Formats: sequence, C-alpha cells, structure tokens
Amino acid sequence: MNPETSFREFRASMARMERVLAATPSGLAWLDAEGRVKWCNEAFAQLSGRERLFMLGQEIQDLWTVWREGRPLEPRSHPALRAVSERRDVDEIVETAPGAGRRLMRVNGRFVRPAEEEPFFVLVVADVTDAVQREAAERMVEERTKELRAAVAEYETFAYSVAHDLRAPLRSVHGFGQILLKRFGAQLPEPARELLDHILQAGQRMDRLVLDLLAYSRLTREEVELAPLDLEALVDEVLAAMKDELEAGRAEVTVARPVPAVVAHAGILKQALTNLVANAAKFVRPGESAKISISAERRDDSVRLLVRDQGIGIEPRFHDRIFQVFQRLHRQEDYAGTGIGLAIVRRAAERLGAAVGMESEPGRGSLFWLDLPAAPGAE
Amino acid sequence: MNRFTILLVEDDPGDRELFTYALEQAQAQSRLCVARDGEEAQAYLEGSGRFADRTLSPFPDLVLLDLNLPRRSGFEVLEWARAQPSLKALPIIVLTSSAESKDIDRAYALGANSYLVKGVDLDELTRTVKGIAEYAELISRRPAP
Repeated sequence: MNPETSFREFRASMARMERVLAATPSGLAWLDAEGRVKWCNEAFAQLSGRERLFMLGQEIQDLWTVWREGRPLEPRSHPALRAVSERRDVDEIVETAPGAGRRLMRVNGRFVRPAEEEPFFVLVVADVTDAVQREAAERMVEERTKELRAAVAEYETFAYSVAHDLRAPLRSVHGFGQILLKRFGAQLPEPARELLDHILQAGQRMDRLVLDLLAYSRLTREEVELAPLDLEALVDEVLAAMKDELEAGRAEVTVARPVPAVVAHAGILKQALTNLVANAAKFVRPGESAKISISAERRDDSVRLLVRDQGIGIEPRFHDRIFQVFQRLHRQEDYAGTGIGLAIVRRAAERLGAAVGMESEPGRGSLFWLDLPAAPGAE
Repeated sequence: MNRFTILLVEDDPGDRELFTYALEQAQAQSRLCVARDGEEAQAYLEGSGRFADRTLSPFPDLVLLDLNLPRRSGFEVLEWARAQPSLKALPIIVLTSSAESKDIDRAYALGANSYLVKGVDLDELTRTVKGIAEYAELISRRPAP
C-alpha cells in the first residue's frame, strides 16, 4: 500500500468521524485545559443559541449560562468550568433558563491527561428533561399506589375490627336480655315484656347488620381463587342450608335441572345465591308465600344463573340503587333487612368476574341473574 | 358431682357469664374454670402461679379458646400448647366471633380440634354449649393412654 493511498483513507475516516460527531444529538465539545472550546458539534452550539463557528476559542462560561433551582449560576460556578479548573471529571444535572422552555441538562465531562499531549476536557451535554420527569412521575405514582394500598388495607382492618368488636357487647345486651325474659318474664307486666322484646329485636337486627358488614368487607379482603365447580350441587347446598328459613316462610323453590358447571369460588357464589334466594323469599305480598324458580342457561362462554320470583317487584327508578350499600326501599316493620344483601351480591359478582343484573316491575315479581364463566368442556 | 372440667379462655366478662348460664341450661355435669387472657391460659395449663393447686384448678378435659385475647392471642396459646408434649392431645376448641377463613385455616393449621363461631342468640349458644359438654363428657371417659 503506497503512502498516498493510506493518507487518503486516513483523511476519509477522519471526515467520517467528524460527520458522526457533528450529527450526534447530544451536545459534544472538546475544551482545552483553560476551558476554551477547541471544537464542538451543532447540538452543543444550539445550547447557547449561537453559530458553531463563533463558539471556537470562547470560554465555556460565556457561552452558556446554567441555572439551578431557578437561579442563574455565577460564571465561575459553571460545573464544566469548575471541573476543568480543578482538573477533574463532572456529572451533574443543571437547568436552562426558567420559563416554558426550561430543560434539565446532564453535564457529563471528563478531564483527559494523555501521556505526550496537552491535557483536555471532553464534555457531553444531554437533554434529560423527559427522562427525569418521567422518572419523577413514576416514582410519584408508585408512592401514591403504595400509600393508597396501605390506606385501603388499614381501612379494611379497621372496619373488620370495629364490626368484630361490636359483637361482644351486643352478645351481652342480647344474651342478658334473653336471660331476663326467661327468668323473670312471667313476673313482668305486659308493657315491660314488650319493651324487652323491642330491645331483643334491635339487638338481633344490629347483629345481622354487623354480620352483613363483615361479609361485605370480607369479600374485598379475601383472596379469591376461581375453579370449575358443579353449580347444580352448589344450588342444592344453598337450598339445604336455607331449609329452615324457607320452610318458615312456606316458600316454594323449584330448580330447573340440569344446571351447567361454571368457574367460580364456591364460598362467594354461595353467599351471592343465598342472598338472592333470601330476597326472593322475603319480598312477597303480606300473607302470601314465595314461589321461586332457579334456572341456568348456557350462553356462548358463560352460564346465566337466574333467580325468579313472583313477589312485590321493584319500581324501575330504584333499579340502579338497590345494588348499593345501605339502600333500602321498605320500612323495617314491613320488610326487615340491613340494606347490604344486594351490595354483597354485586361485590361477589365483581370478585367472581361475573356480571349481575335484574329485571323487575312492581307487582309482577323480580328476576335477578348472574353471568358466570362456563366451566371448560361443560355442555 | 362434676365429672369433667372445661377451661374457658375468654376475656369478655359478658361472654363468660353467658357461657356459664348456657352451661347451666345445658345441665352439664361439668366444672367450669376460667382464664381471662392468653397468659392466664398458659399458666393454667402449666399449673403454675395461682393455678398450681390441681384440686382447685384441675387439668381440663377440654379447652374453649377465644382468639382475640389480651397479652397473648389464642393463636399463640394454641401454638404453644401444641409444642408441649403433655398438651399435644388436649382437645382445644376455638370459640370466637371471627368467621374469617384466614383465621379458621390458621387455627386448624396450628392444631385446633374444632372451630366454632359465637353467635348473638342465647338459645343457639345453649345448643352449642350442650354439644360441647356432651363431647367433653364423652372424652373424659376415654381410657388412659
């Protein structure tokens, strides 16, 4: 290879290198040991808003004012200049002038001491505004989420402890009331016995309220694992457990068989179905007994479980409200209840990944349904 | 004559009294002894401190254990009891207001023989206590190991 060819190739490779450096999106500069610009690329020139050629030979602190916490730094405090004069490396984040265009710049420089040349300083200035802000936003979201989770957990624990601890004094109120009635009821005048009866009933109602609240909050707290289950067996179990209650009201329940299998959590689904059947049995015209039919139909990938009654029905304007906590449409003396039953059904449906809905007209009964995922392979 | 002994571990005085009443109603031939917190329960079972006299504080045939107790929880008592060779086989029934499946699982995992939830109705409590008393009487007649 002759010297001319290798010199040409050397020049070509230098030119290529300069084009690469010139096109780099971060600001690049080469300073001498006094902080004067020996060379810089276009991006670096843009930082000071000047022509690139004007930059050469200028001192760095005259070219580009940096800010920190909203104040301009004095020229001699310029991080690049300080690093050069102290002959060390630097890696700092500084600000550009405040206002709408304010950016965060990372100033990263290295003081180089070659063996046989003058020492020099290589400076890279990159706009890190987006990355810093994104990181800050992510950190904030993370922190907020953590705080929120802790707050929810604390609230749930609190609700649970309150509800739980309310039951002990309630047991005393109710229990001693019952003892009083049993031991001395015969000696009490009729109005006194009636008063005692009110106390006992109120105690029992409060216990139902506390139990329903506990069940409701438990549905949020407990971990749920869904698995295929035999819905027909589950319906039978629920009806068997409610036998006394249903017989007391002389409710007639029919189940359309077979019932397709679904994917659900047995405990939660039982609770939802129990509440739906209990409502169907309860909301009947005075003196009548309930006729309830339970059925299920396959729809694509889901199974719709239906509970239909012929009771008093619900006015359309209340249809949205009945699934909310503490919503009651009747006075205690007409239909006793806590106003939590259907809220439990709705939350149970949420935990099961199921949809819940209803159709009803006053005087023509109600239909409540749950759309549950069908068990794989079931017909 | 008291043929068997039940140790009731319960911090709520109302609950203790109601339990006593329910046990009377059940007409059980039992002696009811009481520990008012987790530490007392441990002392009773060890026969230490004021429970050292076994004629006054006989070793129980069955323990009814509340979970939410001062000083040492029911879970801690349960775990401790199951680690004692002399208490490994002692029937311990958890009787509590908590129906959390987490608590139920934990109680069984720590060696509870049964888990009963306290209700508010006295007649229901009487039925439960009657069942427990019958069970306690039955096992008090078991042959010595």
